[in-house]
Amino acid sequence: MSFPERELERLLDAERATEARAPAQLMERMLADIQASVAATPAMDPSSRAVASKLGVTGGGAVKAFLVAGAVALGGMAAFQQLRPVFLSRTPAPVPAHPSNQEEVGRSAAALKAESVESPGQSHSVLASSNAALSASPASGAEPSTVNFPSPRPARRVSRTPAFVPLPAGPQEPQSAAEDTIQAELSLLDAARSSLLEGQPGSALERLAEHRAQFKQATFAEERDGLEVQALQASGRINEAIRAAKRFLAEHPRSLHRPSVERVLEGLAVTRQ
Amino acid sequence: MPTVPQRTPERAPFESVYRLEFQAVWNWFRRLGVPRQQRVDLVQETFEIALRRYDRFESDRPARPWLYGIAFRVLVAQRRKLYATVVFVDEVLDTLSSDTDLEHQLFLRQAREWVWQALQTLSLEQRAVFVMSELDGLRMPEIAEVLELPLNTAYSRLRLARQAVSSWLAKHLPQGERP
Repeated sequence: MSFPERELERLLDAERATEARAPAQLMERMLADIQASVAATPAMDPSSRAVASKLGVTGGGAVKAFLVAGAVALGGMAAFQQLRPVFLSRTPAPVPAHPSNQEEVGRSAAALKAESVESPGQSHSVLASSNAALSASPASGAEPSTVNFPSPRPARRVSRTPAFVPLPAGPQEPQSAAEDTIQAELSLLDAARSSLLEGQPGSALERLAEHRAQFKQATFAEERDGLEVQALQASGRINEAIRAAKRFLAEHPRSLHRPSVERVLEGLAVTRQ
Repeated sequence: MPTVPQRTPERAPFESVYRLEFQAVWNWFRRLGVPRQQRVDLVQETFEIALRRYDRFESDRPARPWLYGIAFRVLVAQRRKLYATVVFVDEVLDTLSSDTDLEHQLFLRQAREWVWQALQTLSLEQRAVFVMSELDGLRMPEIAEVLELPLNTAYSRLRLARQAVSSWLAKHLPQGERP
């Protein structure tokens, strides 16, 4: 089965026309961080130089092997924290199921940056610190000053203030009540989704409840219900998640979110055995 | 094919390359499905490596494919974590601009979500080829070089990716709702 070429092009055009832009402040802040980080470890020994040169020009396979090898033997809680949504949504299997793959998470790029083949400890501290930043960020009280991203985003390696400064508002005055409502709905759902991705399903559920209460005739009810299934599951409310998932599939049989909801259901069925 | 990679002026300082190409790299990671949270890290990672290697970058070549090449390797290293996230991550403010009517805005958002869902079914390797060729407008020889692939392999990945995207859309898009 194939999709008409012309229609495909139209859909692709919608994406081609879009360039998501990061805020200029973020860009400048990152540049400062990058320069500071590189200045802190300017000299590369010959072996890491070789690795780096492969990175840019040749030998992707070799680099991958190196990355995986360098990554093994770490992981633990820090990695698990970041991965919780995966485990919860894909499979109940605990961390050690695929050691090389899971420990690759968050590790290899850190190892790369450290430019040090033989010091996994150093990489570990990078992960630990980014994780610390992740959990410290909400407590720091650095609340973004906009309704569009109400939840504090993790600052991680970018220092100071929230990492996700809202895009410049520009001349985007809402034009109608309908548009206002759509924007408000999307903001709430966006916030809920972010909370979920940040491993805070409780706060995601709060936002979703808020959305449900506030928008009786919601345009994005389907999206909300799909997120709710994932959030319930992520917070361990298994029976509720199963009920919500079944309700979702009954109410939105043709939904684009169907695969992710089904995946939740599959994961839960295994959990309950 | 919207953009042509820019050629950086000879001996341009790293900062200029960074400022010229930052948004392209940012957007590349977005199209490869990296949510904002992780994107900051990956973009930073990419440019850190680029800065470390900048003295070995041949300045008469376009910087963008070079950066994409680094970005791709950073991404491959993190794929497990990144592809954990199955929800559509849209950047609402980018989509809802005030110069088009609401209905059209909603169509655009829907179209992008469809494209995104279809892209989710691709392997990272296929997705990278598809995004660079179909959305970023890079030429195939450039893409093959960035990904260190024989040209034929790159073409075959693109073909497979297009097939997969097309058949996902055919299967999931209700006839009545098509554009």
